[in-house]
Amino acid sequence: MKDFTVILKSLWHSKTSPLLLVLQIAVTFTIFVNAVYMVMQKHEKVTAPSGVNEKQVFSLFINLQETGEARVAEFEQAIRDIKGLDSVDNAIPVTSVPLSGYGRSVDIGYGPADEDKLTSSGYYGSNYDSLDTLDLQLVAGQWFERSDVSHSFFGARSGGKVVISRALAQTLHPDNWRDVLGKTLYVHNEPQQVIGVVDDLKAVWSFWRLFEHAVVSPTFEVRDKVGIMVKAKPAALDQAMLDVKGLLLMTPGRQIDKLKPFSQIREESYRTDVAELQTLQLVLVGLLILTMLAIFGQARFAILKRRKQIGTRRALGANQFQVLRYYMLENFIVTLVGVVIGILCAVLVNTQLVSYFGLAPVPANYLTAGAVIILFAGQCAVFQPAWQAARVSPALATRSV
Amino acid sequence: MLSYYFKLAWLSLRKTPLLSVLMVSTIALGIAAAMVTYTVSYMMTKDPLPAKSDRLFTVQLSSWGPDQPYLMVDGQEEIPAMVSYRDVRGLKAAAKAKQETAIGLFKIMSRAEEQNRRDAQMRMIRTTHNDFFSMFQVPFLYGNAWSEQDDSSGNPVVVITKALNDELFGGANSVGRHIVLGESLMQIVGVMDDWFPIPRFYYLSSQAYQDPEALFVPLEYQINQQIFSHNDVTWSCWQDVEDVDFSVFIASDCIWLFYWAELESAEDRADYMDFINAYVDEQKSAGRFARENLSRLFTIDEYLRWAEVLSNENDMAVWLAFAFLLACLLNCMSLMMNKFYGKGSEIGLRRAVGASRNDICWQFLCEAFLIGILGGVLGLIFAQLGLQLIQQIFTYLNVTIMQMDLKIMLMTLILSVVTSVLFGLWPIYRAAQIQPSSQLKSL
Repeated sequence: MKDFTVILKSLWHSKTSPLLLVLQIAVTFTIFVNAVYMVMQKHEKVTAPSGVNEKQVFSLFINLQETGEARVAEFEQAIRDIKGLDSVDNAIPVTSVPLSGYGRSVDIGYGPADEDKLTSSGYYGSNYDSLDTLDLQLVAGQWFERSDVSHSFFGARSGGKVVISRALAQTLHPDNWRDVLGKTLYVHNEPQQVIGVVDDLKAVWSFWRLFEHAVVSPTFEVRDKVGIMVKAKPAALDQAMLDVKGLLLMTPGRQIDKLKPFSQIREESYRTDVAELQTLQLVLVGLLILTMLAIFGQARFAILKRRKQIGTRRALGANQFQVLRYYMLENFIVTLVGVVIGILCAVLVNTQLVSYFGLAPVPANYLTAGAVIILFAGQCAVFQPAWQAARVSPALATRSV
Repeated sequence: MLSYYFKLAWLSLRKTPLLSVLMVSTIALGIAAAMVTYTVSYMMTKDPLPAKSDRLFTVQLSSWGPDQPYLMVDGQEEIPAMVSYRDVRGLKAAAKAKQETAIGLFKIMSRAEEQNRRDAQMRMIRTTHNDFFSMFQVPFLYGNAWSEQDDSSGNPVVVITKALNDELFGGANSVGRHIVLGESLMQIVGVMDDWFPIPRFYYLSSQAYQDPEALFVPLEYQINQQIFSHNDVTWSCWQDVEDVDFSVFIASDCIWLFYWAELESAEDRADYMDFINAYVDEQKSAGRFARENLSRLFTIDEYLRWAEVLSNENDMAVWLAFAFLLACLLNCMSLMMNKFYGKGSEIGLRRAVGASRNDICWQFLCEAFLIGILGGVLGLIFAQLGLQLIQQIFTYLNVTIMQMDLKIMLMTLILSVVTSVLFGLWPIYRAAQIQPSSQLKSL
């Protein structure tokens, strides 16, 4: 460690270029840590499970041409016909399709008035079969009875039963989410009894703050345009989609819209996030390359300038390893100063981001990991120039002194 | 003399190949990042119809109901961007503009006549007047726009895009063949060539970066057929029209159409606005348009800014990228500093044998220039690779957004040369300060 003071003295002696490097490292570190954290969060978001059986489920919307009671019968028949197909396992009516961007949200609270509103949630009006069709996991309470299913034109009637997602239960009862069972919840200002909680069901907008809130009601909505979700038999998704389309189009005037496998809905829902994620990753790689180039270039020419000095040191008995160590250590010190300033900047920038954009604060381990990565990258970049320096012949010093 | 300096510069670059590669690639990286983001931002915000941008207007009317304003923005009353069918009829009948068209939308199952029923697809159908195609300079691959006659009687004719023609007819000339919309047979009169106006200015701002619809039919056809996709298109009413039939809907003040007018020249704008005001007054006296008259005309640019398609927030990424370029240039500058410093003895010698400070400056300027050119060329290559990558990432955006035109390529080179020379000035100045005597000692 006797080199340490020597290095500090020599850095202090010619400070311009190390200072430039320190600044560049600090800036890089600031951007780097914040960007990595954003990448991680986005990555977590786009890979999170949707709660729905993605391999087997597809959805579509159709028009209903009858009116009144005949329309109910028309829709029930359509669902029965679809369920009767060989390639189809189960089918349900839905008011919204999760993640599709097409659907509705409802106000949630423990009272009928607007002031009682506690939060909002995605809403799914469906029927008894939705547990099986979507492969939802019931984690508390119980599922609907077949007799709970009712018809409506819009929304659930008062006095019905609902099942909610665990995330919504946790918002309502942060201490013990199971407390929600049996409570009377006002969904869109209509009282509903909560009888069960499902593990994971999302709303329709992936960018929504309350994306994980969902309410399922056994209310079969019969409007002029209605949604259907279908669970195909295992490995029969494509066939089932063809069969359903063919079946429905046998009715003249039938329109089929948004016929898509759930995997496609999911992909479309996250495509801006995925694009942002990939762009951020590119930026990160560019930044790292730039910083390594900078460290490499600086080190190389700092060393080139000091060839004679190195030669002299070698002539005075320093071995190759000592020279190598000297320059690695010098780089380590410069990078470390950059990283320390960088950590301060990163925290400052992050607090700004947190207060302006509502981002989550960067955890401390990201700062540590970022510091280690930058220090390691610096050591990698400086190794070759330092190695070159170590191989400077002692004779060089004697030549022109 | 200059060619001699270039030769020296080239030799000097060759002498330290690694350093040269470092400097050139650092600049190239920065230039590429800056130009990729600039290209995307430039292409997304450029004028989609430069030939007519000052004489093409969308008409917005103060047609909302008496009880409350359409929208309040920062305490100011805002009027809707869309107009009612009733007003489209009124404006079109007056025929005050050189060309004018309404623009609407519906959704229906469509297929080629030869296709099986079950191959039908739900597609968005653009409804408009025949002026649409000439006003917006839509190129045709086969056939033409439909006729005035088709417009006024709402004949079952359709213009399709090249993409749909490729999909349904394998790219063959399909004029005269038929497409089934819902249950009706439509005759194809024209096939559009590639046409992607960016931003797509003529309809809702939320669709500004979507490709045009695949099928275009006369507005009167939609009216005749009484098709309205109230679940799938944007529309708004100030009076209650729940469960009314189609004829009541189109006779109401419900808004669902855009209206565009092309004038002979930009100077006619005031006259046309007078006409619009006169139209509003006429409607007022007939008992409609109860609100204060805030009706207006917007050019494409004015409309896109009002609808916040073009906003300064888009420039954020460009600023960031140029900050990245600055970091690269600073890095390159310190490399040059080191390099020119390392050439102290050579400078000393040249000065000692008679070169002036000026000569030294010129010599190093040539070197900086050379670095800039090489950095620019490499940067251009990097930028192309970057744009390719971006195309892979943003597959849902039209590729024309992610392509450099000649102007941007030239700008890239110029930017690279100018910035490298600029950031070379300080190192060059420092190099020129080296005294002949100081270096001679050590030779």
